[in-house]
Amino acid sequence: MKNANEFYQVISHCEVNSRDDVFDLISEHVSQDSRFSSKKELVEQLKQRENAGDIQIAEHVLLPHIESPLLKQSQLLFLRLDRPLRTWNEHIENIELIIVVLLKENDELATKKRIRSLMKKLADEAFIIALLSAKNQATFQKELTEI
Amino acid sequence: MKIVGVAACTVGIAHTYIAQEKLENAAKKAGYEIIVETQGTIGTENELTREQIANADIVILAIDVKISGRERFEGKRIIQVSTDVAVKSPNKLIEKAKEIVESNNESK
Repeated sequence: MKNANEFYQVISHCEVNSRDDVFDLISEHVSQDSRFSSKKELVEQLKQRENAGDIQIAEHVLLPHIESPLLKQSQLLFLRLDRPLRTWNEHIENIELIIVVLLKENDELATKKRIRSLMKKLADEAFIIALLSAKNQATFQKELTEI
Repeated sequence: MKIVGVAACTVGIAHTYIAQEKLENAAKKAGYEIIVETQGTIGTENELTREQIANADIVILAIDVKISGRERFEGKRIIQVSTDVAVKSPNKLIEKAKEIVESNNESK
């Protein structure tokens, strides 16, 4: 189930079994809004960021993110997994929620501030728990009303 | 205890702001004063003043990249960690800062 919004999308019931499945899913959802010549190019950028530092921000939650001139617009994707992804890599396991931040290079300040506002909310354990425990799309969506 | 800090990550849109918020919350919960400057994609925000730095007992740098104005902290006690340490273990980091300040005060 997908919820479209000019700024973010909540994609529920994601069935993924591996890190590569997640990258496929991300590529699927950004392809129309980007100038990436191939899926590989986007995935490489995501992997580069991951190599630079841990993308797990809380138990069960990942935050892959990039800034790129190849994105036509900034976008947030909330991937709610149907079943926890048991293994992301040798250090990260049992992932239930993946929040993807795709920032268009030199995007307007207002957009960056909206993303900053969400990031600050993600520092709040109660907010993370609310997102993880949301029973359905509507409840999850309700948690995001302020962003 | 008075803490000043800087948060800065590679992309400058995610960990920078989560680290700032986590450090501020952990320090306040422990009853300390804290101000965290961010150097992110938005630019420098919450820029530390000379006075705030001078009055600080310790500096926490939660950074994954080279920051501008690092020389401002010369002569101060500094803890430097990556942003993910501040994101995942903010309470432990504040506790460590306290230990360093206290051990330094005892040795004076």
